Amino acid sequence: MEAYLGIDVGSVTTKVVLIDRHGNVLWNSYNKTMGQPIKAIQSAFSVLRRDVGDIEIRGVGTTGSGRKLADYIVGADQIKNEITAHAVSAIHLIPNVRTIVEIGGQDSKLILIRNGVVVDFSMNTVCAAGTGSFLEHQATRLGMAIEELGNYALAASSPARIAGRCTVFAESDMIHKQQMGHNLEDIVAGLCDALVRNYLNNLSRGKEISDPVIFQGGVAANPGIKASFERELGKEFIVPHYYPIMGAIGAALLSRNTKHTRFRGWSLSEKQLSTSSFYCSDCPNACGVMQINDCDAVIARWGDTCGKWGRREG
Amino acid sequence: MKNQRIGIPRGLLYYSYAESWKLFFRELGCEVIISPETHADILREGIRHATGDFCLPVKTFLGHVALLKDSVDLLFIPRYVSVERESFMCPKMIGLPDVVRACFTNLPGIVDPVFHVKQFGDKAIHEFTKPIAKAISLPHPDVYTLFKKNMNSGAEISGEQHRLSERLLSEGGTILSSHRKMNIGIVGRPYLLFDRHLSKNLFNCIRDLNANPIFIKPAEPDIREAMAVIPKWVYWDMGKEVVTSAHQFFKDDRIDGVINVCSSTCGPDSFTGDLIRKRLNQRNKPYMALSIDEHASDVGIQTRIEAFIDMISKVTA
Ligand code: SF4
Repeated sequence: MEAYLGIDVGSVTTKVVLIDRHGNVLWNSYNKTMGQPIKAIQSAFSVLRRDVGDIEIRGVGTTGSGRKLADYIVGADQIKNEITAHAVSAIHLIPNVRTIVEIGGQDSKLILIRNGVVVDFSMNTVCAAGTGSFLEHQATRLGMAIEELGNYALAASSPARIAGRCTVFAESDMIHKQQMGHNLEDIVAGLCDALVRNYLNNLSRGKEISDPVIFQGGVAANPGIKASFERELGKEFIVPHYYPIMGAIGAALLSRNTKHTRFRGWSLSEKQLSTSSFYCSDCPNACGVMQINDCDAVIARWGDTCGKWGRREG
Repeated sequence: MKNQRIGIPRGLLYYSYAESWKLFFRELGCEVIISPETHADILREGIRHATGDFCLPVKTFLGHVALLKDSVDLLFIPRYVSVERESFMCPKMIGLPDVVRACFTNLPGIVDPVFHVKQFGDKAIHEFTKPIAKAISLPHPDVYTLFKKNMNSGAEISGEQHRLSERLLSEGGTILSSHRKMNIGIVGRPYLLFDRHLSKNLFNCIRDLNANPIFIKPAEPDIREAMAVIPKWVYWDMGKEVVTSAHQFFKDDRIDGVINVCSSTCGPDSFTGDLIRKRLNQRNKPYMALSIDEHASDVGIQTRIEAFIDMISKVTA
């Protein structure tokens, strides 16, 4: 069987998909990165090989903040930023899509599409108040699993108004609202509203959100957020079946035009790879240089400003 | 008194006037000491010393002051209020010497002459050079003459970028051909654009993606033309240049997209950014405001630039 591989290494989760020439998803996985992206890719690969058996990889695409790292390990034909990757998969799925709202673990994006091409976008990577890790943190604090959050929100009768400009404020305001006696459902719904307000304040200034809107990324799992968006904007938010792995699908789709893949085969992914880092002291930049080691040999380095370390070895 | 060590922090207006200041002080017989290019420690020191919520370029400037202050006899921190009759510098720039004094103890002497064309008109340079002459104990007429002689030397980096950009544009031909490299117009304040640490090496980053970063210094007639398009004259200094460059880029067919590099906490930038987006981009050219703050990660900026270039190339699967 011939297939294309898409790998999305995000700061919170790592997604791997296998698609056929037409873009149908054959296999996929979604795991926490846990600060160890190499391990996350390797374990996804071993499950993939067990599940799928013999396949011929014709192309590999990587995306996400760890896209370069993933390339070093597996050998990629397309190394794409998350914005393009997300747009490509959404357009493939719904050709007339006009807006993509994507909220992941650490960052969120708004992408505007007209006639099948990206015309504008914005991305927020600094403030976590509008992202998945914030929601997860709050769910833990309220003693519920992140999956339950949405159902609580949907059961609310009058959402509490939570000041959510930043995580710290939102948290103290939630505690305040709890103490005032608001019920849990209303607080959770208020939390969803706060996240949505945050997203819109940060990303959609001066940008027109028009139908059809696709909502993807890990946070799209939460029906409470979807409901808040729909209430706030009066528009339907379509959550695609593969919402959490759309970036990986986009990367795989882009790799379909590969003639000779640079894929290094599965063996490298079974090696004992480790990462290490050091601070260069050759100039005041003091760059934090990262390296991947295969036993004692360094197979890749990056993170330097001047490029003296960054050339790939081996 | 000769052979004084004059420290010039490499920040803010340094990026506009560096060359003229250096020549001027050297010809006066001073030893000119300039802080190195911004690096992580300088920025960290600046943030640590900032007593208020200043913008990123001011915080960076404070970091340069911290690095220089103990190794010079005098710090040169001029107070540029207005460089022409109808415009003003940003308030933080006008108050810069006061900001520095408020954030540090144990400062060396500060030479903070006022440049104020709106108030002093033709006498602006005369007034500006008076305190300098006094601080280094040289006759005012000599100091005045030397400053006048060197004042148009400008700044090396922006001038160099400008010349390079003009060459690229003339070589690139005037017609859009599918084989030529993409040209990305860059607008923004020189002290953000050309501080490689703050702008995360933007120019190289664009070159690595096989596109040409284009920077221009607009001429007087271009500024007048751009100002006629918008509802009101931009009275922020540098704001006019930013708005005019954007206007030029939007109407130039050789430019494929425009990036406005701004500091997220800069007041004037938020006005000019709005003007550019709403009033000037009538042909709907690809445009991105790249806002920079001290938390901005290299990866985040890189991702935006890559996505912007993909957007212009209309990448599809
Ligand atoms: S890697 Fe290069 S830029 Fe970074 S600290 Fe070392 S010498 Fe300086």
